[in-house]
Amino acid sequence: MSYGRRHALHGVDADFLPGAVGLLGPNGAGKSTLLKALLGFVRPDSGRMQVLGMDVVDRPLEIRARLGYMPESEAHIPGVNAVTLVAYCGRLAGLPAADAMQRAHSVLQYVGLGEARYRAVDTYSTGMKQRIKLAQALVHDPDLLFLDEPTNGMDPRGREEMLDLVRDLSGRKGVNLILSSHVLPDVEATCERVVVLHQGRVVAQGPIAELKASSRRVFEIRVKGDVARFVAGLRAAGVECHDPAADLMRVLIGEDRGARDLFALAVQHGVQVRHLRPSEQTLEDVFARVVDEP
Amino acid sequence: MPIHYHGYARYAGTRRPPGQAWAVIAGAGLRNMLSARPFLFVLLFAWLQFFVRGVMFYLAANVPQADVIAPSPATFRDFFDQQGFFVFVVAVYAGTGLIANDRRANALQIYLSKPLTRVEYIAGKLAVVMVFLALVTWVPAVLLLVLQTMFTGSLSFVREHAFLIPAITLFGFLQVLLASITVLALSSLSTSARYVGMLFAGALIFSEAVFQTLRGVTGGTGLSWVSFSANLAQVGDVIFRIEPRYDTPWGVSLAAVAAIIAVSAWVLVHRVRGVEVVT
Amino acid sequence: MADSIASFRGAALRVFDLGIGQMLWSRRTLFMALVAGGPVLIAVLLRVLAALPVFDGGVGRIDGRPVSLDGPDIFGLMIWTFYLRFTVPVLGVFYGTALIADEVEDRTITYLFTRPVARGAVLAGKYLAYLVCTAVVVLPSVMLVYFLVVPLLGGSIGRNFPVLLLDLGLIGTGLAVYGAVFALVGAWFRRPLLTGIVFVFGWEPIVVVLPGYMKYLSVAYYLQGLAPHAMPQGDALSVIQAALTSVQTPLGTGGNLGALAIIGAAALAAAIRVVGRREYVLGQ
Repeated sequence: MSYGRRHALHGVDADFLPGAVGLLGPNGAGKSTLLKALLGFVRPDSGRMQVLGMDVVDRPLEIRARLGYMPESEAHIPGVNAVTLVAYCGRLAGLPAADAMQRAHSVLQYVGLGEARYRAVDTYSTGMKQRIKLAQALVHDPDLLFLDEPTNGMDPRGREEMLDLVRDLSGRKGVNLILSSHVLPDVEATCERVVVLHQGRVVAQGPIAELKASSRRVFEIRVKGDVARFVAGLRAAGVECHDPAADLMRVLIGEDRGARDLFALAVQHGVQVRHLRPSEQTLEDVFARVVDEP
Repeated sequence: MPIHYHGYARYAGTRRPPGQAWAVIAGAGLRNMLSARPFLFVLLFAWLQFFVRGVMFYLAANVPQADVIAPSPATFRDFFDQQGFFVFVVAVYAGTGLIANDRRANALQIYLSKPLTRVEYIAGKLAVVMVFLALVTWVPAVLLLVLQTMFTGSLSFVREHAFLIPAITLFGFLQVLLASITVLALSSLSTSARYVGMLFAGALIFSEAVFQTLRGVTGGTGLSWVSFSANLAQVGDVIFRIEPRYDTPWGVSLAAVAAIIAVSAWVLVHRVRGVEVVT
Repeated sequence: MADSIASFRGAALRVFDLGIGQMLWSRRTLFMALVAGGPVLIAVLLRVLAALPVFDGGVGRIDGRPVSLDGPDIFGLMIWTFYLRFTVPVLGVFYGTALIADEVEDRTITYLFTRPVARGAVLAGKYLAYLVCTAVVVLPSVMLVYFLVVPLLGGSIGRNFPVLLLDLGLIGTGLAVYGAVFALVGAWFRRPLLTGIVFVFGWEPIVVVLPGYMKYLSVAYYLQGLAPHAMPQGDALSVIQAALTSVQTPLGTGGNLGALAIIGAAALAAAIRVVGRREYVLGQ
């Protein structure tokens, strides 16, 4: 997949199984491009993609009839109020006018815009615009939802409500979804599986629980002294270090090693250990590892 | 109570098969424009010529001394000529923002994530401008013909000039299509409706200025093909079976009109995309 | 009073400083380059054509009548068709209406209006920037056309130079007055561009040929009265206009200049007042 001469995705081989799947990756990893390719907005230079068992290139309209897309960037139909916009999107997706209007009201209520549904969308706040994007993606009752950075620009409460909605959709309403985000806690809070993209390639995929389960032991450590030298020493000894610049650094060491080895390394590099506590491996650790690996 | 408890139900109703979304887009666009009061005044004003000519037709049919203003095929040709300004105004009012505003609001990715093709999107938008332009050209022209028949109480004029109905329809379609597709293509090139309006006006007037200069210099009208409006006028004269006003062969003018339409269509198909491609 | 005028002037000059750079490097520069570069391209084309037999030894035909046509005549024709009837009003409409409308559309007007600067000074500064920007692009284009076209078929650059100076003054005046009028339109109307286009290409061409006082409600009438070249006789409207203006009493150079000065100053003052008082809703 390329834009002009720039390759955005290459050699991507991934399965998005039913349920909620997180599409993780740093900015520019190719997450949005992958979603747009699955929507048929951009054609792959080579290879094949299937959505809901249908080929993206051969049957784009059938796919889009069963799919809802919440874009990352601010997007709306200009000059209309929320209920008109959502009903219009329902009609574009093939719903009869009366059904589209009825569903527009109910979906707007669902995403928390019931009170503001007669207001012009141009006057909405950023958080409200996120909700209206979700509403337009839901109005035709898709079987599959693409959510591209759904919590962007939302305040903490709005973010929690948005994640609640995502959980409800995938958990209780039976809507499959792909949630693309660079915010790991959002993905961890809503998805069972994850596909990690980095520089246009899939670097990890699978159930989050499996990816997190590792043979390594994790510690949180704070040291006083030459931290950079200590980190270099840890890495030289085969210890993985995450967030070395943070107050609490996370280190991952082999199962056969323990706290004693960390103390020894600290002594060896002339730093004092001020805090050391065992921890659990998080999605962040998995992400940091796969993204850092060449 | 969490918001989602308000409920989300799966939809079990019917769905229209793909291929008709252009009508939804067109309908929404038409309603949107008709809700703007100033636009209604523009449309009303554009019908002024129709009313004046209607009175003239009545006088010509009922007052023997008014024979000099009796209609002829040239009357209908003149009618289209004089509606040209309103074609321009309505195209600017209704057409400049149709795609530009969608691009400004990033609406294209919303449209194109629905089960509709780019061609359907373009067709829907095109239909909006074409309907309004037909409303100030083809519709009043046909109604004038109907009025003429009703005032005279005879079909003899229509019978004598049987070519008028196809001529009105063909030229009306050509005029409306040319203006609509050009303004829409320009609309797809920008995110500012005002910029599009200026480009449209600039292109029309600049090409006419070039023609007038070349006409003054050469003393002839053989280079009228450089002007948008002159090309249309030349083809219109041929369609209405009157002496072409310029020296340019009408085939050349027709080719120029076809080229403008083809280029505009090409621009539209390449600019209407669900994703901005910056290389 | 003197203090407030000095403060207004200082603020306007600061906005001018900011606006001139923005205007010169905006996407509109492309449009302006096309508008101003078009006549130059045509002039180059004419130089090429001059080598071909279309000039017929310096005698052309206009509407079937043989007319002597040399370089200065062609230059006069181009001043009418390209500059007076096209470039000046089009740039006036485009830039004049955009002075405030652009800021509203881009939602940047808040940044300007929350500075310790009089709102009117914002408009005045941007108007000055428009004037300098358009003059810097259009006037050299006129000069290039002059030097390319006037020598054709025996025309003399030296002998016609005073005419060039008159034309430059005329076009500069036109840009100033149209700019002021459309700055007012831009500050006042919701759809300023459409209003401007209707005024320039609908209202003005009609009222200047109407008998009576209607023609005084235009800018074109006064501007055309100052043109040192004969009006071209290409289209039907020009024929009507030439016939009617020949039987009308012209205002004279002083009268036309005075009228243009009054229109420009009044429009600019009104625009400054409107901008100072109006609430702008940040639009779609």
